[in-house]
Amino acid sequence: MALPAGLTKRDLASALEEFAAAVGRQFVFTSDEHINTYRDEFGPLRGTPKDPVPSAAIAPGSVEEVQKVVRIANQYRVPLWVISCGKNWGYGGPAPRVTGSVVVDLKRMNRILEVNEQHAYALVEPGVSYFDLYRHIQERKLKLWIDGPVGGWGSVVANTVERGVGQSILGDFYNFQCGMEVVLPDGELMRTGMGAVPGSPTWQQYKWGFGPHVDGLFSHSNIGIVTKIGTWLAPEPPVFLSCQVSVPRFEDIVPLIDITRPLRQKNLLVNSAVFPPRLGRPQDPANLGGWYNKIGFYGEDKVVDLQWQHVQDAYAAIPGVEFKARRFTAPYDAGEMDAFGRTLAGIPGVGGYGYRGVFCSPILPFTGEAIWNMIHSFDRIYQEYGLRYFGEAIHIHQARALVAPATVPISLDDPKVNETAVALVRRLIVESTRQGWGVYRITTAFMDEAMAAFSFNNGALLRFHETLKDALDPNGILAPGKNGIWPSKHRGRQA
Amino acid sequence: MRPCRISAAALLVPILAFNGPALAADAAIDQGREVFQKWCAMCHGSGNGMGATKILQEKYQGALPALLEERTNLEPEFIKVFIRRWNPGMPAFRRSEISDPDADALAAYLARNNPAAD
Repeated sequence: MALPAGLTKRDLASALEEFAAAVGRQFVFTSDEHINTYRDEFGPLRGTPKDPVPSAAIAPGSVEEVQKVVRIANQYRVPLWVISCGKNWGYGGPAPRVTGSVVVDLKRMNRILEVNEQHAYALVEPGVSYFDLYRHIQERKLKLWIDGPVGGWGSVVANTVERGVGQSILGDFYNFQCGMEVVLPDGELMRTGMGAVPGSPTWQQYKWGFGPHVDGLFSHSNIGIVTKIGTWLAPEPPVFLSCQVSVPRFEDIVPLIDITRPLRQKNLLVNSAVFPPRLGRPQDPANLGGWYNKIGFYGEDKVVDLQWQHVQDAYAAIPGVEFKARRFTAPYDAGEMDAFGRTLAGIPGVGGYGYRGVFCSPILPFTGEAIWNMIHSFDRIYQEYGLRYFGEAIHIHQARALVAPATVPISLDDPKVNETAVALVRRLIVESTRQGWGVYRITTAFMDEAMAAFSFNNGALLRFHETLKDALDPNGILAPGKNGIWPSKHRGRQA
Repeated sequence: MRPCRISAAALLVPILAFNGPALAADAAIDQGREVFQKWCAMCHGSGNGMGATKILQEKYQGALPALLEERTNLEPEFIKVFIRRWNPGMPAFRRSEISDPDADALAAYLARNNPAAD
């Protein structure tokens, strides 16, 4: 059993006994066979001494059990790492940062507490996947749409607080989060926003509450265990257009992005992800091909058709542009849509599990010049490692910035590929920092480097995070190292 | 000689004992069907463009049924190992998701049409 630094075998054993009393012995997992399901499948450190291995995993079934777990962890100083559905592929998966951590697996807390059709929201626990929420809505024939990541197995709660991205109406997931319940590192239970008013009917309807808005402190963070979130849903549109704009040349990405920008700002486009047509297939540097933009229109008859016409008129400035569209009306049949249509309609699918890679995803200004610069800067670096980069799906879930992923391949069984991956990602982070980009999210192996880019005023932001961490989690038990935020006892040294 | 009364309960005991294994097997298959519906059907079911079924259709090209529920050669031990590890296109299912008893039931369900062992 992997032991965390500073913890004795006896203390860990005692803690595990108390965890078993709190959650039930059958939900404490310590065998190698069980622990293996809490390793990072996409981990670039796999097979090296630095690959983090949990000591155990426990699966509480209620908020009260989570509170007990946190209090026990404080008593024995056991580091915890929290997962919801454990499908954080490419970002660390279910594995902790600190070897010997106990993984707190919240999958058993899988209640859909409310889906409100009148106000278009849901209140869910961490173990609820996008498949679960979609099925719940379909079975009850509610007139609501969701949005989700490419793969439907992920947690609505976790993917929201990790600020993941979708491609439909609600693609900026964190923007549509409203109200949280959090177990603090001392076991205290807190509700944010209007949830702090007992009996409030607007916990999932009005974000800000009163006083400082603290929800963001629990996003990308390690000062609380989120046990419920509210998430806004979309009223089912009477008409849905699944459309595609294709441009023929690689350099057409510049005008494609520049034309898209005002359309996004004016909300004529409410979702967008731009794909190169050779995504996932071998790319010929001499014949890179163009790009396509999958866009959806959601709303009233005739209105959406006018919007699509206006958008086509805007893109017509690009020579050789082509348009495709399919029109659907309620009631919808997912079987009639192709895979992209279903994604644009927020229907969860099985995508996203066929690759093995980690991501470095800079945040760029919403300009064609910025994406062109990024593609060529990154390609020069990829070539230093015998690889090439020609751009990937660009996320345009916000109207003023782009998130531009760069996938670095990893391997389950070739350590040389992973050594290259580690070196390449670090190099990409350095370049992103040099360019002033920062990254949107990153796998656990590189969280310290990613946070280091946010260094204004000698790292004032990280010092602020550390001040909160020391105040709220003085024993440093909750997800040490998450996004580069370490408890004081770890500071200055890696786990 | 006195008439010998044999209670219905006494008759049931040997009947149940004789049919016990079959009833238990049926119960496992029923439970496994529920596990399949909850965890597998959204990808491996039929209709609505189920992603995994389509992928298997392309992979097998008719050599094997694309619908897992129609397979006749899935071994229970293989199923129980397969669901616990990541495979391209499919996540691993932990014990917090599919418990060991549920995995046994799922395996029984998917193997229910296998030819009987000689």
